Amino acid sequence: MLGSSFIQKRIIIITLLLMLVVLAITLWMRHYFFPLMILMLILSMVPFFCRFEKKEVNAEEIVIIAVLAAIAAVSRIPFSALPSVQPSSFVIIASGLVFGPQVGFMVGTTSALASNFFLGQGPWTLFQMFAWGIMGLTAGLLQNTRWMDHLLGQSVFGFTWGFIFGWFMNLWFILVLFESITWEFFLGAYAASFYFDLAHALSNVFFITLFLGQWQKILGRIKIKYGILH
Amino acid sequence: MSSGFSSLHPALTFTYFVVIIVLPMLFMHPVYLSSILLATVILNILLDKGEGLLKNIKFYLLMAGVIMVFNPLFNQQGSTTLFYFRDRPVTLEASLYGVLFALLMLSILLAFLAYTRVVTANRFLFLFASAAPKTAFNITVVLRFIPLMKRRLQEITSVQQAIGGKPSKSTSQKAREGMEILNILVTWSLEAALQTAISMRARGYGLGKRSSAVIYPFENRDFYWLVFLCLTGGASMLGAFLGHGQYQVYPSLGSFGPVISWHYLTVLLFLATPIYIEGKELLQWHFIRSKI
Repeated sequence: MLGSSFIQKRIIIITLLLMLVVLAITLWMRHYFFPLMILMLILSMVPFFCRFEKKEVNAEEIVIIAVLAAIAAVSRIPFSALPSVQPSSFVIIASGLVFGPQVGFMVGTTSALASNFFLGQGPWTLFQMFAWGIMGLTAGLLQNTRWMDHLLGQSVFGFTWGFIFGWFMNLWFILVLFESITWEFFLGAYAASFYFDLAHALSNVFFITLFLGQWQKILGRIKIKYGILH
Repeated sequence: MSSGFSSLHPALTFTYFVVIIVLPMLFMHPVYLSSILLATVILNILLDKGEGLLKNIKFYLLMAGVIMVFNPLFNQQGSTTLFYFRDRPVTLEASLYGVLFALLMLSILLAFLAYTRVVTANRFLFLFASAAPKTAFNITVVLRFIPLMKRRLQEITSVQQAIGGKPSKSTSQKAREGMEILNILVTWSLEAALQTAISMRARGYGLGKRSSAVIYPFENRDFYWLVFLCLTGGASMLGAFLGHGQYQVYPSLGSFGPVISWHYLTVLLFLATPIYIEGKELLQWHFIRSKI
């Protein structure tokens, strides 16, 4: 009985995948690039969530991830006096660096999704989830490398992600217009967002230079003290 | 406390919103797009008397306006030149395309606004708890922590002020101060969180399948509406792939053709479903009251 239900599950998954492939090809052929992009975004995040679902996750791990995600979400508040300075990205990078790629990804995606329950969902939710998720993931992947060992490497990482995040978030607005987009429009939109992206990148560098060491200590202590999330 | 469209099973309302958010992306037709926009406006008004609409309308109109203005300025496709802007032709076709895109953007944003009203966090998590229990649980905990963190932030700030923190002037000083507050918040919350975890384990976290605090039963009525929504929504999307709801803009404007087709009527039926349910309930309430 166990075997047959396993095969049944496999068949369902394979059928679903085939249907999705057909849907994706149809969307591509018909130039529906925006729905296609959304489909791709969801599909590319599914494996990471599946991995999280399969793992044994104990209560401490869930709660730590949730605390970090909630802090990333509310971290805008103490900086409300300073527009476009917000340490959400910094919190996500720090979580990834200390606790690894899986936690970095979960902190990034859940903080984006949860904070939008308060601020309002929109097409941007998925893009934010993806961008912050991958930000945490890459920070986690570079966890023990020599690159992230010193301040210069960390700052370059933060600076680069400030721009990648902004460039990626521009896509949701631009892809809607895809059918009639020209290079001029594209470059114009990216030039218009340059100031915001630069502010994000610089504030990342600011937070990383001054506070990343401190945060690594705080988070690392929790990790050792309770022996979690190795 | 929910009534009308919101009281349907979350699976239904969620599906409805997925379809209504995808639909405008599939149609490039002024009549179709304006119908969808009109439906989302009515739905928003019925749901919360237009409160959310009034609050966000400026931002939404700005976004739509940017698209409407910039498309003809940056795009020279089309054969009918209206006027020249800095030696570049501004065409009628590109202007109309800009309007269509603005309609598209507005209907998506308004559909999301109604979505936030109807598919609340509770319903969303109920829906995904069976497919991804750990992720859904994680989000539930985050949703509980966000207000808690806000309260803690207030507490830390007022204590800092009480022990003599002066409001600082320069940007980097402000940022430093903000970060000090955040440092306190993270140490405090992480320690407290581990107590939460111990308490969770003591109450049997992870011993069995997770149960849901709120249960939304799937009623007979839900089944009928599900069939109806699947049929009309599916036909609407299929029709788009078969070439319905497309209006030729480039190189020159095409003719409207017969707008009233089986496909347009199906789309209308789909769009009208929540409006019918909400409206019916509203009228019922109205008449009950007037009898008393």
